[in-house]
Amino acid sequence: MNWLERYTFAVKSHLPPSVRNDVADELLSDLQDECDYREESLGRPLTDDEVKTLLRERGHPMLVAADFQPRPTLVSESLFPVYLQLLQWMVIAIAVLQVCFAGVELIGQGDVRFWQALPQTLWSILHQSLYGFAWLTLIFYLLGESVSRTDLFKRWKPDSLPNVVTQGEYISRTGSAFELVVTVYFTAWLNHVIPQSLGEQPIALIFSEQWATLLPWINTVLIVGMLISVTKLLSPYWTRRKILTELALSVATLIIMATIYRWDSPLAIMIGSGDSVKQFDIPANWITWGIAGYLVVAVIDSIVKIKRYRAL
Amino acid sequence: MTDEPERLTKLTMELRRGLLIMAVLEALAQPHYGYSLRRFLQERGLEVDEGTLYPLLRRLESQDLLSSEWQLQEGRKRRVYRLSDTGDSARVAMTEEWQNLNQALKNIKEATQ
Repeated sequence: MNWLERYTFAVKSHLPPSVRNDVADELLSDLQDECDYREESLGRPLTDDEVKTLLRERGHPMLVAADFQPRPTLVSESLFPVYLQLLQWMVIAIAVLQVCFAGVELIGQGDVRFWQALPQTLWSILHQSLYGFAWLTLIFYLLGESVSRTDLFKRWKPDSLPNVVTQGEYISRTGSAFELVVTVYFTAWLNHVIPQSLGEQPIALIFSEQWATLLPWINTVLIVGMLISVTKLLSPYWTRRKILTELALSVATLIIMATIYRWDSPLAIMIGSGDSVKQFDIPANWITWGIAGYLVVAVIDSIVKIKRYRAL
Repeated sequence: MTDEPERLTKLTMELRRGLLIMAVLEALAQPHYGYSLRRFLQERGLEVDEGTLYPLLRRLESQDLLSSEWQLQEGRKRRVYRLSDTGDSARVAMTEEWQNLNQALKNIKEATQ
């Protein structure tokens, strides 16, 4: 068996059965023609080394075979932007659902603490997102080139275009996701869905009886806050409606805080459990400073938002 | 970061890719087998390696632009390619497009000089 046949045989082993013999025959014929041409130029038959040089010039059999094979991609180039968008939405949806599930689960397991639930939830988000990523990629691989971008967006109308926002006015999705997770956990904590304690030594906030009258209003503000966070995740750019809703939310929060400010000893801290429990009233000036701190942040944030609103 | 020669090679390859299809369609106005086509193009100043030419021929054939048949020539099996009617229409359209592009490029150059 000569070198050309050995080379062709090696290439053949890397080819799909449907084209194996066809490509190998054509390759052998091409190599033989090339040898003939070189022999004619030299006026003598090629030596073994010269044939091997020719084969080295052609390249490794696996690479030669690769040129004859289609190069499938998991996600076709034209559908990649669609895939990326769906991947983002999927991860966001998984994160929201996992946080909700964690909240519901904690109702039935009162002894699970916040700092135990948080890493579990984060792990679940990562775990489910990896599954989702695999499934989505598989679906796009199976779809292949059968679905084109044009088909997917056939019903698109220019009316659905968002208003132009100046650069830098996009909302960070990371920030919105963080905001959502914090709000969900705070709501769960405030409503005793998760225990109000920290670490081995239970540390709990004791709310005065007056809180019961205010709780529905606080919950309303928190739920609206969550909805805004979800909206910001889904369409991460500022609109006048979003700004107005957030400003209204800040005003509502300030009213709630002003109400709390007027109460006597609204909060106390309880440390320990059983006989060793100790309770301390939170001093009024701490509450004042807390509210003042929030007020400063809220005013600065509102000024920025008003400027943004006027720029739109 | 891509260095300058590598970037230039990629750009040249992109430019050659479309042009090569046109050259192959033009050349196959006469039937050729793979090796003879490669030599034909080479002798006229267009070097194409086998790894590019043969897969291209198969792709063009799968798009019905070419047809091929095995023939026994000089005691050797050779796959002879020829232009199909669709391929001929494509050749005419591509030549026209090429001339338009060439003219547009010339106009752009003149406008910027």
